[in-house]
Formats: sequence, C-alpha cells, structure tokens
Amino acid sequence: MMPQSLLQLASQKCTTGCPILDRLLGGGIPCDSVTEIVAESGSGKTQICLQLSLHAQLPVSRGGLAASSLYLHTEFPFPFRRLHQLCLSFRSSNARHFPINDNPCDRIFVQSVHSADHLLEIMSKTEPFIENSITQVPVRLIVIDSIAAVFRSEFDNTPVELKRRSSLFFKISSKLKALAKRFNLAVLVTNQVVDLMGPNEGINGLRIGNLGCLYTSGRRVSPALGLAWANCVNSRLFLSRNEEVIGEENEKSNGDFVFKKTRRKLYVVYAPHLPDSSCEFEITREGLFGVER
Amino acid sequence: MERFRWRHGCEEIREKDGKKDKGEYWHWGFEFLTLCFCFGSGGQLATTPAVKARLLSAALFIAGGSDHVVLVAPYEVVEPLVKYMAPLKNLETEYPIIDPSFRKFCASHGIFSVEDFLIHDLYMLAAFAEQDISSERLKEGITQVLSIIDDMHQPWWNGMELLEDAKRNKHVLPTGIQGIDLLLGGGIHIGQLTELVGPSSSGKTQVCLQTASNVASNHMVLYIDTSNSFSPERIAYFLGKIIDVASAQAKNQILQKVMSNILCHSVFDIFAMFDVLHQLESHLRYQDAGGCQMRLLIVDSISLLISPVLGSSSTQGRALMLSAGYLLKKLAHQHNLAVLVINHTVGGEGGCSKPALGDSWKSIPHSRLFLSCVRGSNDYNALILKHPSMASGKAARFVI
Amino acid sequence: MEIWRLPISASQRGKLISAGYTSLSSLSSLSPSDLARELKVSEAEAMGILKAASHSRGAETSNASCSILDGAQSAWDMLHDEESLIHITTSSADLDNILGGGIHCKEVTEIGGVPGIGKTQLGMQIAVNVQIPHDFGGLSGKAIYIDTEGSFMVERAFQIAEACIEDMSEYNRFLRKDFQECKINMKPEDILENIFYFRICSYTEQIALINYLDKFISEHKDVKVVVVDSVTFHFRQDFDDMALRTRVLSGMALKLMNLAKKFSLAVVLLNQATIKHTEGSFQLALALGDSWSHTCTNRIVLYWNGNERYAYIDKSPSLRSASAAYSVTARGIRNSSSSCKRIKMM
Repeated sequence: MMPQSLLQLASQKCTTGCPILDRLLGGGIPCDSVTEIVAESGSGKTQICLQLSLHAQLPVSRGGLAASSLYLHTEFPFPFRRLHQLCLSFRSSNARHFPINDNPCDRIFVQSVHSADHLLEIMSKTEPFIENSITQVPVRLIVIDSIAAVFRSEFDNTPVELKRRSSLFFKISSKLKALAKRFNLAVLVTNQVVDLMGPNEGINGLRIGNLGCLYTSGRRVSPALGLAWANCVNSRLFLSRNEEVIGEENEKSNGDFVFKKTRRKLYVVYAPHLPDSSCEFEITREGLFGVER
Repeated sequence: MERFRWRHGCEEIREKDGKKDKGEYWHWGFEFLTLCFCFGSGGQLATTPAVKARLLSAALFIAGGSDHVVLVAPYEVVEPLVKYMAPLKNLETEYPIIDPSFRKFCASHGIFSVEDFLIHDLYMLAAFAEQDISSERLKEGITQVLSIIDDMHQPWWNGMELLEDAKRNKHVLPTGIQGIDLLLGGGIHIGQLTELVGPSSSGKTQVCLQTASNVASNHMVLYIDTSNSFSPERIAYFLGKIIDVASAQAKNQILQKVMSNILCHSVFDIFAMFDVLHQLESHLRYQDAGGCQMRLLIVDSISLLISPVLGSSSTQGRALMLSAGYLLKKLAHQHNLAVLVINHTVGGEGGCSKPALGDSWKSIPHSRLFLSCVRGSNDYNALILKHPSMASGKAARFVI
Repeated sequence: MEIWRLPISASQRGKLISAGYTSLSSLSSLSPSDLARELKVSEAEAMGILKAASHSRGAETSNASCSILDGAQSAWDMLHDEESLIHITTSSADLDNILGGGIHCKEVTEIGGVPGIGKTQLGMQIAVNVQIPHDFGGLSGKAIYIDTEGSFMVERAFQIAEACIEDMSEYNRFLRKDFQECKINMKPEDILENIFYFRICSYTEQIALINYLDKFISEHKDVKVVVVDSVTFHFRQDFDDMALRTRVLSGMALKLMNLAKKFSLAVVLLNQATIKHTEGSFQLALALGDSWSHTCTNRIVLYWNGNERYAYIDKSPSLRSASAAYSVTARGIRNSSSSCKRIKMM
C-alpha cells in the first residue's frame, strides 16, 4: 500500500457543454467522484444527463473525456427523441471532432433499472463491461437517472426497513465510488424531491449544505432519500424552477392568455471543491445553457 | 522471548488426552467449563514448582466457591496442572527432602504429582511410611509436601479477622466530589472494584481525574489510560482548586509533589494491560512496607480494551474479560487498592442504553455507578446500580 | 534500569544479556532455579544476581517513583510534555480558542456533522496547516490523508495551500518588516507533496491500512497528523452483525490511539451525521452508535446555526464544552464574523 502523489492526481472534469455552467462547476462534473443533481420533475435533470453523456465524447482538449457513457434509467420511457434532437445539434456544432457518418448516440449505452437489487446486479456486471470497453472507446461516465425511483416503493417506513434501506445506499454508493476510482469515471446521479410540510424545525428543517431551505415552484422541498443518502454523494447540485408572469399589459392585450416564463436556477448545495454559488439557466432546443446576469 | 501464546484450556485437554472427558475432573469439585485460559510470557510469570503449586491451590480455592474456574497461567504451567499437576520431581530443586527415594516410595502408591498427593489417603500413606526402613525421612517428606501446599493458598480467615482487616486497611477514599461522596458514604472503598458506567460525555473521565487528584496528595495513583483521555492539565486545574497556598512558588512545589504521585500508563490492548497489572503486582508485593503507597488504580476504560476481543462466537474473549476482572479484584483485595474502572453503554432494546460487556461482567464489580448528564445544565446525575452495602436506586447530583 | 549497571561480574552480565535479559524488570519475577537453568550457572550464583538486581531496584525506586512500571509517566512530567507540544491550528482563531490552541497531538479528535458543513474542508485545512514551519509556530510536519469517500479534491487543497502560504508571508512581512526576508521557500506543490494520500474502497482496505500505518509512520517520522475522511463510510454498509462491527471499530480505534501516543501525532477522524430514533422522536447524532462515541478522546460536532456554521465541543477530557462560529471561505477555514459575511452569488 503506497500513498498516491497528489500532484499527479489532479482530477479531470467532464464539460457540461456550456461555458457558463462549467465556470460555476469549476470545469464540469469531476471524475472519481459522485455528483448528485436534485430537482423536481420537469426542471431539467434528464436534460443535463443527456447533454453530459454527449459531451463526454468530446476530446480532452475540448473539456470532454473522449469516452463513451453508461446511462441507467429508472423512469420510463427513455427519452430517445430528445436525445436524438440534442445529438443533432451536438454533432453540427462539433462536426470536426467526429467522422461524417458517425452517430454519437452509438456511444451511449442505455440500460433500464427496476429495483435496488437489479441496480446492484447491473453494477457487478458493469465492471467487466467497462474493462472490455477500454480497448475501444472507454466508458468514463455513468449516469443514474434517477436513484430515488429505485427506492420509491420497495421500503416501508419502519426503523428496521429504513436501516436496511440506508445500508443499501451505502452499498450502492461504495460500489459506484469504487468503480469511479478504478476507471477514473465521472458519476452523475439524479434525485427527486419531496415536499416538506409543517413547521421549519426539528428533523423537518434539518439543514444540509449551503441553502437553508430548497424552494422550487413556490414549495419548500427536500431531497428524497434523506440524510443517509446525502452522506453517500460527494457533491450535490439543486435545480429550481419558478413560474413568473411577465408583462402585465401583455396579459390585457391577449385576453385570458398569460405569458409565463420559467426561471430556472442551479445551486451548489455542497461540494468539496466549490463555493456556495448559483447560476440561472434556460433550456432550449439545443440543450441547457447558463444565462449570465 | 515468546509472548502471549494462548490457548483454550478445554481444547487442550481434549487434544492431549482424547479419552479423558471433563467428567474425570469432577472429583475436584469443580467444573472445567471455561477452565484454563492460558496466557503469559516466558519471562513474566515464572514456571517454578512453587508457582505451579500455588496455582493448584488457587484453583482449589476458587473451586470451593464457584462452578466456573478461570485460570490465568502460562501454558507450560497449566499443562501439567491439568493433566498431572506438578510432578514431584520438580520440587526437588527447592526441597532436597523430596529425593529419588521419597519419590520412589510415592510412586509405589501411585503418587506422581502434587495432585495425586492431595487425593491420596494421607493416614494410609503415613501408615505405610511407618513400615518403611527410612520412615522418619519419608514422614518428613510427606509433611514437607503438605506444608508446601499449605503455604501456597491464601490463609484462611474467620469473620473476626476479616473485620479487623477491613477496619485496618479497607477504608474509603474520598473522591472529592461532594455528591458522590455523600452518595457512597464517604467515597470509593479500598479493596473493592468500583465501576462507573455512562453514555459518552457523562462525566466518567472527569470523576476519575478528580478522584485521582484528590487521592494523590497522600497516596500513589496509577491511571491506566486506553483512550488518551488522561489530561494532566485538568489534574493541575483540580489541584489548583484544592491547594490553598498563597505564594505561587510554594503552590508549584506542592503541585509538583502531588502530580508526581500520579502515574499514567497508556495501554492499547488487553494483553498489555495484563502485563502492566502483573508488573504492578510484583512491585506492590515488594513495596508493601512504608513509603508513599499506592491506593488507587484507575482503568479508563476497561470496555474499550475488552470490546475488540469480546466476540459472539468465541469464549476466549469472555475468559479474558473475566480473568481481567478477577485480577483487578485480587489486586484490590491483597494490596489494599481501590480500583475504579470505566465502562460504557450500548444501545439496548427500545432505544434505552445499558452498560456494555453484558451479564457475565455484571457480577464482577462490587459497586456500579451509573452517570448521566442532566440536559441543559452543567449538573450530572449518579445512580447506584449495585453496591454491597447500600440499596440500589439511590441517586445524587453533582457538579464538576 | 539496564542490566549493565548491576554490580555483578562481567561474565554473568554477558550471560544475562545473551539470554535476553536486558532490563531489571525482566528479572523481577524470576526464581533463582529458573535463572540458574537458563544461564547454566549454579543456583547460588543465580540467587546472587537476583539479589543484586532487587537491591539496585530498591535503590532506584526510592529516588524515582516512576520506575514502578515500565512506560508509566507521572502526571507532572506529562504536564510539562504537554506544555511543550505545539497544536495544529485550524486557521480560525475562534475555533482554535475553544480547542485550547488547535488540534492536539497525542489525541484522537473526532469531527462530525451533516454533509456540506465543512468536514472535508477542515480535514484538508489541517493536512495543510500541519506543514507550517516551526518559525511560524507550526509543526513543520507531514500529513497522512486517508480518503474513504473520494471527497478530497486536489484543486481545493491547492487553493488552501496557496492561501496558507500567502498568510504566512503576510505574517512575515508584518513581523519582520523586512522585505528581503519575506520570501518563503514553500510552494503549494511542496505542500501537496507532503500529504500522503490513500484512497480506500472497502472496510477491509481501511483496516489493513490502519494496521500498516504503524510501519509507514516509523519510516516517515515527520508525519504529524493522520486524517481519516471519513471513518464511517464503509462501516455503514453490509454489517448485519453489529457486534462484529463494534469489535472491528473499537479495535481500529485502539490502534489509532496507539499511533497517536507512540508517534506523538494528532489523529483526526471525520464522522457522518445520522438520525437517531429514540422513543419516537428523532435526533441528529453522529454515526456508528453508542459504543463508538466512547472511543475518541475529543469529539467536535459541526452544525448550522441560522446561516452560520458552528463547532461545538461535545466531549473532551480537558476542554470545557463551548461553541464557536467559523466559516468556509475560498481560502479555507476562517473566522466567521459579521464583518466578513460570506458573499452570496445569487
């Protein structure tokens, strides 16, 4: 057992494909680390995941990992059409890095996951798969979208079951981290939110990370899976969305039609390498991009 | 030097002598259930015949009172003890009377070891010796062996003598903490094993440090530290409150004198603790007369040493735990020490905490104090769980 | 006391030493016949040796009580040792203040809190600060960082190291007012080089590493701090047999204690927070259960109070319980005060 030299250990990052977001994240999603994105549905979790698995294929000089990716999805169906759409714009903007007839989608391996045990089973198969992939385009990114769905229904709310569940969290997380370390992978996990009811005190108001409370769509939420899972990830990002009515006079002229704009924001909840920061972003046809204010 | 070769006694018996069941040993009046846990190091415990014989008598001594015997001895000692006991031959070096001719006589009656000697009808033996040519010498030999055996066990005491001993030697040591001293009727008892139990940060170590600094002004204190929690600063602070001298220099001198009386020894496994205790024992035997005497032994915490070896499947850890307990009690009794040990709590059923180390340890300490921290204040609570002369359930508050 | 100081003949001395008896205490519990057998001398001679040994032992005990036990130290000596020890600063004066000067050497300090409170930051800060040279009141030591969670970020450690060096040169300038002197020969790269980093992926590895540390540190004597980030992670999975876990953990704790004492270094264990169910109510507590809570010398709990991070001394034999605010800045752990509120980029 020998110590590793830190000077040679500088961690690689995988670009998100947007310079503004990259700047916020210190270059992108770090390798040899587990990053979690927490958001309610429709906030852009899956968008980031898809975008990342495309951009991981960029050469290292462009901030990518020059690698293929593994996409484990628990929510059905897998958004093939959106992936295809993103793929087209991705290819057109990065045409010179890819042969003409090449389809980046070929380097995204998709697998569906039904349950926690299934996930563990897949992960044990993943290791030889990644090992073999090294000869071709190596796998350097694992996406799990979303982890919460795996644990949603299987467990009762009793102390014994909760204990079993958190033991599983740690098992999964340690497997992921071991894979991440061995192959220098970036791991991206998405998580859902649960609504918080009642007063903001006791366990209900337990503060984790930079933000006192997380708000999205005007509701106070907290990441699913609780404190135990929070211990399992290295960094946590939060996406919020808020509907905003813009232009009162527009409303009048258009009758009952109201112009609404969704303001989306990305927060760093906690990360060992990032300060408390946030950034607004928008989702377009071409993908997800930061907005500078 | 060989160190810590330890084996399980019962396994050893079976291995050595397949036919001999433990039933064979019933005539000793004790059960070889957890018998003989052997540990020790070649240099530390000598294996002279005298020691062997002493162990034999110790075994008999304990056997009288309990069903279970745990023996702590080097393997070389236990082996002959279990199977043949000390052969008579070994005694010759120290007692020339037990010469070959005497042994030959004994052998003719089937006596090869001290053990055989003990179970033999001595009157018969004496009668046979009478008929022999060198009867005087033989009888002398018999008396010699008997006196060896007699010398080796603890002297028998009757109640009066015990009372006198208690009056003379077994005082109480005040802890210096008002609440606890009142609760325990003056302090912790010399000659007894007192245990402090409590959840973390319930003031256990503080009570120990305070007691140590209180006792150290007149006596020596040994503090066996397993969690690097011995804090000389804290001792100096406690002492600073007790010492009432105006000049700083005089105060410093007293502080130095008193603090030199407190010895601290760091120990990180149970075998090292046994080493220290054996060393202490031989030292105390040597030093028992005069001078500044050791009166207090603190083990902080015993549970930390035991929990790594205390397993669910093996009985070895349990045997080690019990022998540590017996050794501490023996030291306390023979050398008039007050022994203070710390135990921690584990989560029991229903979320309430209970003392660690389980039921077999429960019977070892003479008194048990449960400490807890009163929420939201600087006060602590002490509750008697067990005490030889007081009702359990009494509680007191104290401040540190 | 050594054998060679005994008033016995040279040949006897030679025999004793070749038989492996080097100290008086090794003779203390021997019987003459045993010694005679072992040295192949007559019993009377052996008796003579033992008598000489016990005499000189008696003489020694009368003038120094410490020789009662090998390895025991009197509280007075320890007090002096302790006063001369340098503590590892946390870079936050308030935090140092409640810690009695910083993280103590020879002790095991546990630091726990919810994710994102700054445990890893504090761990990295300590690993950097231990290298502050003697001239600046530091230990000038090296650090071992055992990473079980993969949260150690080199870029962040680099930032902290840079800030630390900047602070030192500032201090230098302030102190000496001599611009020639204010050059510091340390670079952030050197600081990173002096952190021995181990990445651990399972609890067996963790235990093996901690067993190996003894050897490693005796080869690298200048290691002054061992940081384990976090001690918990691999012990929260796959342990059906809780008794086994307790056993393994307490064995590990004892080994770490031993290291701390033997090499006079600080051990910092980072722990996670968990929710404890007691009598129907929920409470935040550090992980690994009741018996673990006894094993560390000091325990520091980090928590949020409003928008500020606080550290609280939960348990310590020598420090009173107190709390202090701190903050995590771009430069590392620093004091928290109303004047330097963190700027939020919102």
